[in-house]
Amino acid sequence: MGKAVGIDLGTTNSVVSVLEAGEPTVIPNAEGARTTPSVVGFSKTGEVLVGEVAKRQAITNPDRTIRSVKRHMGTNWTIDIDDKKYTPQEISARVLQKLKRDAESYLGATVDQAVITVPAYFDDAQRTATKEAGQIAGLEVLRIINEPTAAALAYGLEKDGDADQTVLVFDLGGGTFDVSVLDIGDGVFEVKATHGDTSLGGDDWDQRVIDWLVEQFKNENGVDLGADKMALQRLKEAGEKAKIELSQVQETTINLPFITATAAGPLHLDYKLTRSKFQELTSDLVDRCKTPFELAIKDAGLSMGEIDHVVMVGGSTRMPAIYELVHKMTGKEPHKGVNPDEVVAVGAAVQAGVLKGEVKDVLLLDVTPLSLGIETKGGMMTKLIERNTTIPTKRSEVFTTAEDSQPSVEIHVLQGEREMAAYNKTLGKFQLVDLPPAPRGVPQIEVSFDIDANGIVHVNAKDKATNKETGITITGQSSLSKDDIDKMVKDAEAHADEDKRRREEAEVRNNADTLVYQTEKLLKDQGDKFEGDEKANVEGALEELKKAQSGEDLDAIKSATEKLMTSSQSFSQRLYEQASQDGASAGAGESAGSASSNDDDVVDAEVVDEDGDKDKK
Amino acid sequence: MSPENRQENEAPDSSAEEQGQDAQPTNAGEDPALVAANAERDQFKSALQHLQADFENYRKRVIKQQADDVARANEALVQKVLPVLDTIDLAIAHEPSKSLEQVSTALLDVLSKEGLERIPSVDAQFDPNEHEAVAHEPGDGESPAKVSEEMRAGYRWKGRVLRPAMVKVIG
Repeated sequence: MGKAVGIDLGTTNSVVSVLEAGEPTVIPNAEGARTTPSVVGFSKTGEVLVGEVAKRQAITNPDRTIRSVKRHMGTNWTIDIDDKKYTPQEISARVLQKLKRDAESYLGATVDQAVITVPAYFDDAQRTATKEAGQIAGLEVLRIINEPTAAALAYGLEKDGDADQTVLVFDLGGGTFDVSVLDIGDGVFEVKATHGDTSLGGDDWDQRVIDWLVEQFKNENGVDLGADKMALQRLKEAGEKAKIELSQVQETTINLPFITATAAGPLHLDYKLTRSKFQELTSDLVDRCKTPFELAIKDAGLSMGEIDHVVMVGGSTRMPAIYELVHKMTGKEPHKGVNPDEVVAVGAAVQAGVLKGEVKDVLLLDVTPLSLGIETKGGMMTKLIERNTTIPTKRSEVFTTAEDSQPSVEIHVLQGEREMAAYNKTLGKFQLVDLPPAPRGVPQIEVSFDIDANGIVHVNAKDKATNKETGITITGQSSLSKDDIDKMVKDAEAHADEDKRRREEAEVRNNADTLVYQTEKLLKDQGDKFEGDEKANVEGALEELKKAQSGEDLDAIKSATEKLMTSSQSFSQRLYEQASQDGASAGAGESAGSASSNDDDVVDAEVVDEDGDKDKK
Repeated sequence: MSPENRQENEAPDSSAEEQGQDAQPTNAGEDPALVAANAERDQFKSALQHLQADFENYRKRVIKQQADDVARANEALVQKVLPVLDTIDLAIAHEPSKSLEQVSTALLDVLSKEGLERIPSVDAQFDPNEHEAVAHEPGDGESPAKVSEEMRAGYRWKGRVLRPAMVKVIG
């Protein structure tokens, strides 16, 4: 069975998107771009060119290149190419065919159905023509939906509450401008009013920058760049780039070296453009947005304050002046998060998914709202399942003991985002007992977390030597309210720095502790193999570290650790082969966490690697 | 610490709930609860198959994209270097200079070893896949359109057009 996509068939650009496992993805075309120019060219050699390629040859082939065919949809307009008449829907179909083809190659699956969007003001004839275009392209058109409706769908506004919602969609594209007011009730969308300006778009803003550059340059150098095709092309690119940059920064530099030449030599263009100057140059364009805006609200029988949601569509709505205008006029913060160039196609994909029944409640998978893990050495929390992991899922990790001959480990199951165990929520505790006596670091205890689709967590601990295992089942973890969860997440963010410090502290102490243990073992087992004053040096450094450990000065512990490491290094290197694996790890940097709790005989796991290589903890 | 070790993801459980009362018996004599359960099982199976297929395709695509990204690494940086190459070209065009040409050759040498190619344009047949026409002059109407002048060089990066050449076309 083929896939269903959502298509924003635009006047200047088109976008295609698909819902995969409930999430919308915008599909890049064969050239790697996420938008495809809605331009079709019939080359003299009989090839049909679509998109960027058609645009590039337009000037050489103006009679056989069609732009903005959307403006002719539903009319009797035709174009003659090689004695064949083409209707608008046939030309549009070429664009749709390319989108279909590129989507198929991207998805690795057939695409045979689509939801296509049209402007809210399109009449029956225009909608029918759009549907025909889809059919000619080999697509079953599941539905034709309004562009503003698609934009609202992309943000899931139809799910927002039970009461009727009023949504204002502000769509400023490359060459057209629309404002629509929608009413949503019971998941049904109704366009209450729509107004616009079919000859106002982002290109007008670019043109203002170009005009300004040409004028400045003329005043200073007496040369009219507007007459020079190549210079103009470079100005066009630079103008658009400057506009885009000024949405982010307050000032940008337009630098076009060797823009032209006079008898006196080459001339360079180098100007600074500030955001305020840019806004001054384009303020009348912003003003032109106001009237359709006011009319749409008036026609809908509303006042500005009665708008519940504002959605922005089109790349030009990224301009701060536009954002401010909309914010000021509606008093509402526009929705953010979906790329305004893609929001219509995304909404169409959502609609396609709904119509195909792909998003069924039965398979809507949940995520874990908070991370889950266990307490490890130093009072830290080691996370096994990160927050926002889709469930059901199962993860396991191998831990070890922190003391020689430790008879049992306590598994303290935690939920939360803080680095330190004490600040997270305890979900349960259990003990794995009767561990056979073994030096610390040797036992391998596999802890696994298994969350089923209902959010029930099974935690299990197994000693890999004896296969003895035990575990608990935790049911209440999802009973936290959304507010509790938000609070815990925010809390973790607020304490991130402090937690990081504590974690580092715990790590430094754990490292020191491991090194002391290993050095003592080395002295005991290999004491007779020391040469010269090696032993005295190591013992001295060991005492120093132990002293530092009892204090609070972290830097002192760190430097004492390093000193001990250095002083024992040459010796342990020599002994490397004979020395036990534990001995070797003295030189091995980072050692990971494990927990000490108040009980002495408890826990304390250090993570060991899968292959049991204790050097790399 | 590497929590990725031994990680396992399990497919969702398709344990269906009992929903006997909603059943529409298709065959007289069949247990409606059984019919409903079967229908529900088929529905789950189909949903699972779709999800599995989506995931497989997604996985393949991600692998391909990662390989692409690695192969085309540095593209963004090279893109930013293009205006520098343009400036050198323009400077040489305005005033031929041996030393500047050496700079240009050296820089292009390095970049071409990494995968940058200059797109041939002047006198080549016009190809909108690689050439962007910004000016046009009618030809004799017979021969195919050709590039008569290069206004700005175009480049390929690892075989793909990074920026088309900006050209004047005749014909």
